[in-house]
Amino acid sequence: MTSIEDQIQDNLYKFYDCISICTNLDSEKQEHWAMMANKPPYWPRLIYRIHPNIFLPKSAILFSERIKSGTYPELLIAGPENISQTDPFLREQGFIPFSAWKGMAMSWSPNQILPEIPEAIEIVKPESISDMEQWLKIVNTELIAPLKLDVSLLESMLAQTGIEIFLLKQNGVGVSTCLLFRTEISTGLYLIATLKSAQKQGFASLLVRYILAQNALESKNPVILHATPLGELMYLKLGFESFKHFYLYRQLNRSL
Amino acid sequence: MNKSQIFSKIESICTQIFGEGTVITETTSASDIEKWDSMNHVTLIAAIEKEFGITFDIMEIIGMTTIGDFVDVVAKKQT
Repeated sequence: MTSIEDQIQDNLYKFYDCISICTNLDSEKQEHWAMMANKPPYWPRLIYRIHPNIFLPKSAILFSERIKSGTYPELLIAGPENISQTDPFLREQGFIPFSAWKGMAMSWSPNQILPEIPEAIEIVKPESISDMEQWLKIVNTELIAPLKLDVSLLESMLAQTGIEIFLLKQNGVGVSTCLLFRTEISTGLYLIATLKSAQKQGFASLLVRYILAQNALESKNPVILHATPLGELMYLKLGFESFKHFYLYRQLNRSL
Repeated sequence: MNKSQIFSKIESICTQIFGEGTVITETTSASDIEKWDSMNHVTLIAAIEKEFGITFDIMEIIGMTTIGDFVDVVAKKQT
């Protein structure tokens, strides 16, 4: 049976695979990548997963060459394994850590009930361009995300199996967002954000509770997410448990 | 160097990165400045490290979300 930590990692990596598939690929780089051994099923334009032993001489030389040639993307994600050795190695290569996520999970429970939705609040799955633009504005403004999303990319993502997006509106105006991503073994929540002017009023918490209750009717898989330090407390209160960290690195002086 | 001097230097770095006229206080965070995206976040970290001749460890970086946090950690590392 897959451990919960493996499920957290599996969902995160599959989500990024999914986004990478939706981004426009550079055909030359894609061809280069396809020729390499152990190729993943996508060109990792957006993010590259660091192997826990990346700093060992053979891997380090290969990594360094691929960074210099621009073969690898400028955004990296590393797990906690060997991070005390991985971190200085990545810094030598010109990468700076800029954020970390705490992997969190909640097992399925029959006790998830739909929260009461106040009259001024509406939760929708954006389908119109207007709703999508409101959803994008919140995500692009409130999250330090590696990539600015647009309607075209969002529509590509929504065409992928297992992705749904939610928008919580207050008096008709979008204030909180969430993206749900289902795999065979887990449900992931991503891009949970609230407009600054509407923060600390419980909107994100309400939206997550709503989605948890809806999801519990459709799936008995655990729900996982990756919380920033600021969000962890809210998810603990909602019943999530904390697991391992994921560290994000970005290359200096190179734009996506 | 006291915290006020550290703040002044960090404020100057922020102006270079985020542009003239950017209001910087101890409580300023990424959500207050439109240009504070992930690229500029790593640029800010690298510039502060260079200015003060220090290296933040990864857990310190995770914990720093406001300018005041940066000031506190720099002050702590200089003692």
